[in-house]
Amino acid sequence: MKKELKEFLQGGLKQKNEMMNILVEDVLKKNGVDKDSLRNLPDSQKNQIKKVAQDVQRQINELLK
Amino acid sequence: MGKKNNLDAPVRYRRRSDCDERAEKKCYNGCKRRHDEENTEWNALESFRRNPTSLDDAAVEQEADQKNKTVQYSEECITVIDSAEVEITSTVTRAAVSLQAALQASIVLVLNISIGDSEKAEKIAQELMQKSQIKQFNYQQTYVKNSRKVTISTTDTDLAVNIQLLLQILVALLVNLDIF
Repeated sequence: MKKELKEFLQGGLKQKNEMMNILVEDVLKKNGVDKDSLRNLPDSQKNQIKKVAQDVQRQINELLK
Repeated sequence: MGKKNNLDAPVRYRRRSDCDERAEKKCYNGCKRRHDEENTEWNALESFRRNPTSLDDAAVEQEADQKNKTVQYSEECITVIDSAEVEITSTVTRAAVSLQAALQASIVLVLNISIGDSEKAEKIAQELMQKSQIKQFNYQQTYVKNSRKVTISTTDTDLAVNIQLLLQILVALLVNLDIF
């Protein structure tokens, strides 16, 4: 169990989970958020967010070492 | 009538079935049972004694599923009494809890930046994270008493599962909000 979790969490950002996608899509839709209503973020801000996600991923990997 | 313990009786007249198992020493001359050893409790701190459950020197591994709570409360208590050579490997629960908080903060941050409406972002984050809440409270105790060469490995499985769910939410958000 631990090994499976470790493998999953370490590869977290590379994984796509269809069920979770549907859930998030549904919650966003229910709250009136669609692609048109999203702010057009500059690439620099997108990169910052990606860095935050990668940092969380790094912390998970550290914890599971 | 109770069985008599006559230690002077000739050996040839005694049978195995005459043995008094509760006797502290030999119950009669010629009895082959090791009463003196049988009636002494095994003590982990006496290094010359072999663990009654051990096969060769193989370590006994005990795994306990450490349960979790979400953010509110998580406690782990491992008590070791009268034991030697006990090795404990425990997932750092506190670190896992802060990681969980970091994930939750990242979700709120991503929503806030992308939607630009903090109230709506907070509402969506709450709704998403509610689905990943597993338990609010858990308390786990592990006792090791009179044991030797014991390895305890505890994994906060529920907390790990919660982190997994939050990570999935974050990834799904990044995809849905056109960041990835």
